[in-house]
Amino acid sequence: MGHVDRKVRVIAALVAVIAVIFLMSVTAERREQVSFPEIIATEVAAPVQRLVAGAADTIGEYATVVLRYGRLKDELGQVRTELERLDQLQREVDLLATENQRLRSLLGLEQAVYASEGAGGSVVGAAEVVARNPDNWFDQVVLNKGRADGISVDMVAVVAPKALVGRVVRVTPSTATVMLLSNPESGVGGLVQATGDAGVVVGRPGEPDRLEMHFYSRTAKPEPGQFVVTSGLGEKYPPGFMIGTIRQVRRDDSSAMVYAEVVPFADLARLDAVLIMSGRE
Amino acid sequence: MLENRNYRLSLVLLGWLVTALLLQTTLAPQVEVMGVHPNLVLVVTILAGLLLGTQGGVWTGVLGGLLQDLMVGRYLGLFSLTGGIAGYLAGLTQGKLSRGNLVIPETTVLFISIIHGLLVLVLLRLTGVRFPPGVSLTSIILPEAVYNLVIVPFVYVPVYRTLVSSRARPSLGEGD
Repeated sequence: MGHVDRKVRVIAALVAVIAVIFLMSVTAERREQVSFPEIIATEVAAPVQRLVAGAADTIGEYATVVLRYGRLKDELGQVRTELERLDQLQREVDLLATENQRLRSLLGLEQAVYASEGAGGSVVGAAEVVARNPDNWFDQVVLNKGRADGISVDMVAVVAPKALVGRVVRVTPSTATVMLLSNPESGVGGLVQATGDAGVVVGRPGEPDRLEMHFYSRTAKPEPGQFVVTSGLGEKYPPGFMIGTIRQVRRDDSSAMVYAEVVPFADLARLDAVLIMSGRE
Repeated sequence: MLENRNYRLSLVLLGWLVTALLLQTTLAPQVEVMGVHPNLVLVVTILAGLLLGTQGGVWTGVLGGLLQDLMVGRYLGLFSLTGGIAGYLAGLTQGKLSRGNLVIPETTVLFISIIHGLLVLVLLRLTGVRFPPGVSLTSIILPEAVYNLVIVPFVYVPVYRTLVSSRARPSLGEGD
């Protein structure tokens, strides 16, 4: 009798495993429609998460100030110096932007793929990050705005100025879930601004401060310090959004492939708010 | 009376799971070390398995995993299944707990967290998602397991107390 019971349990367990794998496969792809239990779970959790996250932020800020007073004072001095330097840099950038605009008008390249301005259509609105993924596998954040605020799947999330964060993969009436660039499942078509070398930028598991760019061409010659922007070659992301800066270049001798380690412009591990922009129109 | 106790135990477990989920979705950026945060839901599941046996462990794991699945919104069932298995494995060591002794829960949490991570990796691969195994092991599975181990002393006593006071059979070491 016990033997039969055990057999039944083993069969039931196997059926459960197969059923779960099937369910995982079905829900692996992007879904426009979110199931009712998911809507309930996200909608009910979001306000509470917002409260807890707000309280945690406040406590964390006070604790930081108290614990690091001396260091913060030094840092403030450094920040002031840095601000002055950035102010100077901004003036130079403005000059270059004007020059760039004039030259592009002359060349008739207003719609150039390489443009880093005019990227990605219009701004839909700003949203606060109320929660992160509960696991360490899929980097994503939940926002406090959703379908009712005009957000829809495949819209793009950025932090100023146009530093790409990720794209919307799920919306409920009042929340939206953004898959971050650091999510290993996120693949973004990227382009090295200085050289025009194209590739795909992917996330690495458990490493939100590091992305990896796989170049399409084996003759690509990226250099550390160069900027990577979205190429617009994929289906999801419009061209021109800033992805990050190349930190290191690696060449695989066996396959002759070229890879680059990219530091994202947006601090993906510490996101408080993002700007939602319409994606590919 | 017994039914009332079971009802109360279920509510206490649900309360722990929801609290754990809320904390790990909101406090993650503040407590992240090397890009990972502790998996409180898994720790609660393992402690519940240790205390309640295989059946209690499985149900806690499945429920906690389901809540995680609903929050993630993709690969539904992934964390329900892996959570259920983790709870079952923890339940196999039921009866070895004693108040104040952290060696058993610490060791169990460490090993089952690693097994849980490997199961997630295998299931994702079966679904066609290829996370690099080496990087996943060194950047997610092992750091998360160590982090889970570190937080056990903070979670163990309150979970132990509330579960013992609300379970139908207060004495430890009984079978399912």
